[in-house]
Amino acid sequence: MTQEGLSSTQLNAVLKSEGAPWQAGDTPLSDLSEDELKQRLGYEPGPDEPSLDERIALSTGHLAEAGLTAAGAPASFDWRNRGGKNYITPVKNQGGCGSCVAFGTAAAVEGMVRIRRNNANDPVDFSEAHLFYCIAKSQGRHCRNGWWIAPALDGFKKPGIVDEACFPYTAGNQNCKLCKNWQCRVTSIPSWHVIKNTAAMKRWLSTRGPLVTAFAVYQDFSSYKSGIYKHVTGRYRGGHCVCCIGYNDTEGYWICKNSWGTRWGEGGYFKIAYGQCGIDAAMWAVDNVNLWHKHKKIIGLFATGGTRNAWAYIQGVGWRRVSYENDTIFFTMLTQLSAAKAAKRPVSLFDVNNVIKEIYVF
Amino acid sequence: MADTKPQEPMTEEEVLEETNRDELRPSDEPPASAVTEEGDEGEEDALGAWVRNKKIVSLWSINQNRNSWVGVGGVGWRKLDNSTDSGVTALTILGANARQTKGSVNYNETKKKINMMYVW
Repeated sequence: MTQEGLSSTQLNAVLKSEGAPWQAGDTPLSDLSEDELKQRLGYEPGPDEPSLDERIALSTGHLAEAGLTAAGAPASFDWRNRGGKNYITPVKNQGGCGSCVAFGTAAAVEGMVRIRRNNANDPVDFSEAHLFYCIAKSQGRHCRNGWWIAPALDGFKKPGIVDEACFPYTAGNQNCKLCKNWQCRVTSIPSWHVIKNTAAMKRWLSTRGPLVTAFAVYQDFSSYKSGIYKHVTGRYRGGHCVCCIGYNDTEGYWICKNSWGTRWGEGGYFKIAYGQCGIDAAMWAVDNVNLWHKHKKIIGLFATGGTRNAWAYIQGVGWRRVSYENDTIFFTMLTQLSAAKAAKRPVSLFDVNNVIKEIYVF
Repeated sequence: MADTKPQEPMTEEEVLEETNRDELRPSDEPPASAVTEEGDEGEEDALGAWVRNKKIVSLWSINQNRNSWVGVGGVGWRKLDNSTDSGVTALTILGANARQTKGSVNYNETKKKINMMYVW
């Protein structure tokens, strides 16, 4: 038996009567009690944000207004297959703690890092423990009351989030135990914003990167194995945060990365129909990632006669503009970059929105 | 007083019309993947002409404001765009880098004045 007296066979029978949009089966979550399933969620709408009921209504409205297609975006997109490369980091498991917001936001920023570095194999792996057991905890949040997305993204802005090895995640309330040199190990983002229009969501997904989103989870979702999820039966269990990585207009679904391990769903991912459960009421976009490009060579320089307009070509990265806030900054940095190129010495560069803000030359 | 020129001077050309070029950004990829035929000198149009795969063989400056030149192998002296302080100085730094490293240079010129430069 999976839930509320329904076996996966019975649930599939219900699904069949609804046109079989998705397939149910035994998953690591399908036998969990109501309380245990709630512990695998953890999205709580913020003070100024729509409730989950309001998100559901907004999503339904978006579907009616916008339909399936979006001008200016391809008919389908999936960051797991962009030019044959997968820019999404491996699926994780939040375990029995309502820390989904940490996982959904970290997944989106990890994807942005791989995209910005143009390296689908980049080993980026952020510490969800830092997000949840340090930043969320300082705001009174814990495994049982969850969190919302804006403060998690603010945590990525400042102080930034360390790598997984600095504070490995395990499920369960615990103290903030960052490694000693944690301040040298953070990655930060310059800004983020909310997208409330489904066409803009698709344009962002297909050109910039993954999005963070939240939706209402019902009991049947725990038994999802494959297909395009629509709520058909089972009671409401809570809000959940995931990372949206693609969409398909032909069949009308979003592709999302969950944090319930790879044995749930389609290898840890799921498809959910447009307008379902509040999934597309609004999504959160990471504008960019502040990156250190470490131990790189400067292989080209470019300048024009215009005001403070010079660029450096970083090996394996591409063109980045030299900071242009004032003459002193501009010439100091350009001189150092020129010296590094001339001597063929490695550099480490801090990059904010494709502008070089800090330089080491070794 | 007109700016002094290096030896074997070119005819002083009228200053480029002031245009907002601060937003110009590089588009070339490194030479291994770029088309950089030896001595490739394009036709000049309203946006100038690209000259590719050259060496900077000499530098020249004098105690006059915004007056910096580079000697281009096989071409001769070229003045660096002097529309702005930071522009002429940045181009000078790149010219010096190219001279020091014997690096390959692609540049765009209008009326024999270099207004954009790549150094590889």
